[in-house]
Amino acid sequence: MQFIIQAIINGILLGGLYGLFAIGLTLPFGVMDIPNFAHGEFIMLSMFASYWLWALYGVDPMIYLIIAIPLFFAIGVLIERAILRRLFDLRAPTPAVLLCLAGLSMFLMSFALFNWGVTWYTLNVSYREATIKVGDIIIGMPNLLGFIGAVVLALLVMAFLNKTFVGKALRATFQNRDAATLMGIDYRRMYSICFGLGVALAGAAGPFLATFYVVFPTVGGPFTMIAFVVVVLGTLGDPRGAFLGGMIIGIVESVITQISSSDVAWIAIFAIFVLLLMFKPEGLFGRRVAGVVR
Amino acid sequence: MRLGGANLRRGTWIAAIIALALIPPLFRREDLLHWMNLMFFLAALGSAWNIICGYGGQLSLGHGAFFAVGAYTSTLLWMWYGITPLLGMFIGAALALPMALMIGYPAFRLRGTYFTLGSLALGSVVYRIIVYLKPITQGNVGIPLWFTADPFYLQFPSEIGYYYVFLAALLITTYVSLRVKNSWIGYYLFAIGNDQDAAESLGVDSRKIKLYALLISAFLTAILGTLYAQWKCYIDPDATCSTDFSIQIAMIGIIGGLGTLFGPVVGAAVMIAAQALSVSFFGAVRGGVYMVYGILLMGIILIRPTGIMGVFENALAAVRVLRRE
Repeated sequence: MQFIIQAIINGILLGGLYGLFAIGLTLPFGVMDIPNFAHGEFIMLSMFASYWLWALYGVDPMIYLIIAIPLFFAIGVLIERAILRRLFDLRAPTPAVLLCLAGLSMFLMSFALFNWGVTWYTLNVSYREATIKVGDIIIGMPNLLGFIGAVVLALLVMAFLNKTFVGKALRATFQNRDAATLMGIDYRRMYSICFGLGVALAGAAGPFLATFYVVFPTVGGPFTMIAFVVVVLGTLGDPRGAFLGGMIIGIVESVITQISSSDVAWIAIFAIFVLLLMFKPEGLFGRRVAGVVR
Repeated sequence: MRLGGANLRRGTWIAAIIALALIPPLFRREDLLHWMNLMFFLAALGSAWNIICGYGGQLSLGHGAFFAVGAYTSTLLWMWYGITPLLGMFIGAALALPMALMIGYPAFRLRGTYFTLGSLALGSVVYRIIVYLKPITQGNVGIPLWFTADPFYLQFPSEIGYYYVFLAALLITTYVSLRVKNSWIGYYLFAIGNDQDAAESLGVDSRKIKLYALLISAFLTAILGTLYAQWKCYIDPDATCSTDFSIQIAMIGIIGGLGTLFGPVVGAAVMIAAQALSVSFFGAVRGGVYMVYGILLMGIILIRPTGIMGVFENALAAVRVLRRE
């Protein structure tokens, strides 16, 4: 029984980070109707950046985090301007836009493979092996740090969405783009901010994940997949739902990996996804209007 | 018999097929035939993908799953029970159908990109299942097939035999794709791809039509999986159902233009050229080829979201207008 509780705790801690980067996927997905297939690759790039900064210059991942957020925000805005805006202007069919992002994901992943090879890198910060013991439960220091960071950042994002003018404009664009435009909101600017914010959150998850995960070029693909399942589970465009969904998926993955194997955990996550599509495509907090999920 | 219209078109087809069939005896070069085989094979894959994605506008990034089921089923049946892949490929293709239903049935009810997400997830879960069933499938190591050079097992002593197999595969997929395009399924698919609401208001059951198209597409893709296994004599999850491979299938379709008949052939040729170029630039370093594919895919979509074939079609249309004037 004790190892199940241990697995659940580990799942919650990991799930917080799943929730964090899933928020980064659910916002642009909800606002622009475009799922970012390269999401996991941005997490991978951020993990590598934090690894190299630590390995070459001894920069602690938590210090890198302060640079990572604005840096990845800028990357996101750049990609939105260069790729998505152009495709929207050309009135590209949706499959073409999705494939373009898939191409970006393929490029980033093979770029990493090309440069850093099929090798596992471990970011051995001083607190990597540190643990806290609560009764029989052992909590890894980096995991706890990651969870706290994820909660703080998620709360900041929600405060941004609820309290600031730009955040409110973003929500308005999500609810009804045309009405928001009539109210004087420039939806293209909102698209840029939204996509930038999403990539920034992927970048923010990177240093936390790097402190207890191994860093390798193909680490991003599974993260993208997990983020998609989490986003559907927690309702498109809903940051609270994404965070909660992230923890649920984290627990499922951790517990099943503990009692069976990670491959079975993956099959279970896929089963959850298919069942969701079948019976509750609107997710935990959504409603369905005549087949259209929103 | 009047020359013109349908007869002329049929004549062109027959002439083209005869010309293609004459290539191996005229040019007895294994390397040339190998590239031709690769092109026919990729074009057939793109053509099968096109049935659901090009005509129906439903982007699949998980066709590798159907491909892998075809390749693994026929191979395992052959290696374990001695069943010839000639029969095994149909069993594999039949197994691909419930998989297609598993994603298509729930996802086609929904609007938006759910099918794309589902197909992507399907590809990755098939990958994990193959890895998990290691005692049967040898996991990531892959299965080396026997090489018998016996046509009864779909294997041939030289590339010439495979040439006719892949030519036939390409012709059959193109024929099926043409038949689908010009049947009620094709018309409904185009209508759904253009404006789903309008199509549904006219009584089109969009979910059923998309499912038909997906099933046909998955069936053909699985058969191509078996042909690939018998040709390469080696299968592993990376080459059959990785996300990269699924995107590669989609690339063939989109480079040649969505929903066009000959687009996949153009797409396959471009892919092979890109592959050759990247090998000469980067050597065989892992990631090199897919880096080039990624740039190519983004570049083509950013320049022409409808694919290269769109350029040709515009040119043809311009010529026709000029002639008329």
